Amino acid sequence: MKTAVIGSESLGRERRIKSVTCYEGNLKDLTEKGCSGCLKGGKRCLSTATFCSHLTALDELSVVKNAVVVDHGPIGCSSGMMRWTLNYRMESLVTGEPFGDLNVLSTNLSESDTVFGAINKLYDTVREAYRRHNPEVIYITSTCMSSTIGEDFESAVDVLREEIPVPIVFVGCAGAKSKIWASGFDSEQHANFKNLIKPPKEKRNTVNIIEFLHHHKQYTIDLLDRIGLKPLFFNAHATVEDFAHASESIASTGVCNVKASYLGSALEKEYGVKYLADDYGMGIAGFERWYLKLAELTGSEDIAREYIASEHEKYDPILEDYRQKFKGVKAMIIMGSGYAFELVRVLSEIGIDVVHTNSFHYDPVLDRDDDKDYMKRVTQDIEDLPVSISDAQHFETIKRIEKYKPDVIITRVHGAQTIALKTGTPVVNVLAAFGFPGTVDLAEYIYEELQNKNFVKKFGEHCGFSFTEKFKNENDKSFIV
Amino acid sequence: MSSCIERPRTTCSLGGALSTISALPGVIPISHTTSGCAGNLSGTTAFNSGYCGSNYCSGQSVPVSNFNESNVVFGGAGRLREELISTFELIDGKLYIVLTGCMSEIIADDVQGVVSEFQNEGKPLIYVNTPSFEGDAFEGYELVLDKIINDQLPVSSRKDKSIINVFGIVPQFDPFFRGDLGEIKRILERLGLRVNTLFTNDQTYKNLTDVPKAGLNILLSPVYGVDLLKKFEKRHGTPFITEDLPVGAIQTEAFIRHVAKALDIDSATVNRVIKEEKRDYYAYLERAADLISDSEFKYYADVVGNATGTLSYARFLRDELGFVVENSVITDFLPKKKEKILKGYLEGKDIPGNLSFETDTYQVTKLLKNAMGQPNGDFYIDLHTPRFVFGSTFEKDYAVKNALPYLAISYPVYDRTILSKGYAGFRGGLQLMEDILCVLVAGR
Repeated sequence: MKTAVIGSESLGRERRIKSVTCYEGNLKDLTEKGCSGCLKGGKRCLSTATFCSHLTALDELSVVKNAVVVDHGPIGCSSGMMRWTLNYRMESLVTGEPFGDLNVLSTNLSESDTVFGAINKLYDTVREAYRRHNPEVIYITSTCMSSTIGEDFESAVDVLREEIPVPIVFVGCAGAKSKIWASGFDSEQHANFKNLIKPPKEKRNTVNIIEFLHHHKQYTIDLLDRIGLKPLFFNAHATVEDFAHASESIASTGVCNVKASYLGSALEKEYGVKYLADDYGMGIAGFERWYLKLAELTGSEDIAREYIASEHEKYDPILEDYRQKFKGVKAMIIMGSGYAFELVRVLSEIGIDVVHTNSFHYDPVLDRDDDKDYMKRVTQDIEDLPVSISDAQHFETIKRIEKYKPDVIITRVHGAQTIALKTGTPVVNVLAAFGFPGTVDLAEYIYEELQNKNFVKKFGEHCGFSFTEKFKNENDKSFIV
Repeated sequence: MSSCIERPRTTCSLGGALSTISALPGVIPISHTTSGCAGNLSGTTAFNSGYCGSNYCSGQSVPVSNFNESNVVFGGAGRLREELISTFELIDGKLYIVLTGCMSEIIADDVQGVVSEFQNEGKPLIYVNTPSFEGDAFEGYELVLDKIINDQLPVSSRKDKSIINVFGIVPQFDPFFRGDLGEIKRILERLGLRVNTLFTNDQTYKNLTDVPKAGLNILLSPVYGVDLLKKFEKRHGTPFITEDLPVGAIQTEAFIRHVAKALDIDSATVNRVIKEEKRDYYAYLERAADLISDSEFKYYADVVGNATGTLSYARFLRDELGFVVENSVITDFLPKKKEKILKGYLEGKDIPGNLSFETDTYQVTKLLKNAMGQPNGDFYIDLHTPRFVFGSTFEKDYAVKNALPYLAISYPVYDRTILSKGYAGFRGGLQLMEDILCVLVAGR
């Protein structure tokens, strides 16, 4: 068990599960080296902006219902919340959750605070947060600055718990702790597990759905309902009470291992809540495996099989039509590691060849001990696939796009879509390709994108990159040293 | 009174420095920070400033030393050196600027030492200290320009009175910076002047190096750039005038006359330009009269924004549209020294409505709520409605909940997109009026 929910904060992924952000080669080599523990994170001679594990944690905490985040740091660290607020608002329109801004209070550290400490600012801000918002839970997050100057969070939390009648949860998520922004998920899940999740009182027919903003909320509810299950969604829209009941669920799952691994594994290890880590409903085959496994929990395999058959009947002709349309289309994937490899199979299901897949990081193993070979199922047919691991290092992305010349780039977040567009390559943002409808949606988006390339062509013609002349002509130059 | 800030509407000085450099042609930033800072800030600027986005070597493309815990212990100078060698080899620019962050400052990395190694080789490299505790984003703007102009650019012996520099508008944190500066430039060019805006799309690196040649600096902000231009005057001998951001015909006419006076431009030219511009402006207004007179077009207004724009917008609403401005809320996060400069500037100035200074978003909303009349059971109570909210998208939820018309005019803006639009000058005034009318007729 790599998830050791002890201590006040989680370890960064580099140290805990030997995750890497720097690799270039093929899938076979990556997984073999990864599993035998000899995959060493390479180094870059040039690195560009990556994301912040602190902000990842902040984002995931702020979406908990009636929560307030007190960010103990300078205002710059908290300002990132504006960007996530925007995503939350966009998804609220889809899920029907209350539409509004996410809340963060910055303790606003200044230079003298780095010398004298500022624990009193933290006290004041937590009290103020409680007075203003009457929240159900207050999260206290650490930043590079507050953790480096050695603020005594533990004592502060002890004192504040005496006076404030709602859970006060410390989240150790200083950005410098890990270069892998996904470590922020672990930080917040570690804190939530320690503070909000309670031992089970009774078993319930719920499934913990650990994912982002629940784009497919209604669809998930319907799917589970068919097989006699109910979802408990985390973290977005979850209440403190939902967390307390998480240990009573039959199983945990999510749309992405990167996001769900820490909490899912911890719940399994501590309270025997089965974590369905191998599949998460992406594409056709993935969905079938995932749904059948869920159905096994309630002995409703027949219902699930029947549903899957009816979905095949409905969607197979459509999918076949797309496979014909996509003959000869070559794609490149640039996504987080939860999607980058799974999506190769999903694209093959709609008849698209993948020429290269780029993942923002790579976890050689998951948090559960028996997940050592979790990549095997993904990789068995595509061992020679060229693969790269880079944490949104887009100078590398540009070079790879130039090298592999894909017809379309499939991506999501972290700036890859902008870079793709500027190379003049059609680009499609994919949310999850969840189930049959999600797969067809993805096919439809790609088809639409390829129908009219006028917009994207313009970018290729009029946007330049900031490479030196010398470097523009060096096709095989690698940034990895 | 608490020292905390709820939902800050500004970033650290690093954020402002990165935004400023992104708008300077040919200048490349290198962020010497922990992994995360630059990526975090790229989101808040590219997406929260009317979706201004990123360009040449900004946002996600910024070279970052990305140092981690071990560098915090053992120092990050080696990583910075390596990053700089690669940056010079791979990224094309005219000037390279190392920016520091909180952590590189706390661990006291020898940035100066590393930078001077490259300077000794003749590389165009400088550094600016931009940790959070130097100030906020607006301060970052000033720090970067101060370093370039007052430290790097050589003093020019030949001054050209027809060259003007415009300062005070901060890229992205003034969401209309491109449109505003474009319009100011257009107007000044009509007076026969050549203008360095530094940040509009027509500018090149030469505009930046030509800055010391200017005969006059115009500062369009009461605070941001005051220190910069005082030092500018001392070093380069170019005087500056501080002007309010001109919004609409009345303010822009006054602006033109002030500039003309400072530069001794002949009154015939000035009068001709003003006459032509006003003819155009009021011709549009004339045709809007049908709509305006056909609707209930009289509003109480609250204006929330930064020190540069808020009062100009408020005056425009009061003087040109006949709105009743109740609150002008200035949201800047100012250190004591800057607060003193601002308050000194505002003394005796024409201020529409109640002026308040409030940085905390929760308090801003509370202030707006309290300004509205509340039903108290009396037969008649003046609720001070209809009411129009001008602010950032942070004020939107308040407006929507109270069914008030609202328009985003200040950072952060994420419920509208801003490409070439600006609200400064004659054309900006018309655009602002157009947008206000759009809000009012959109539901029809």
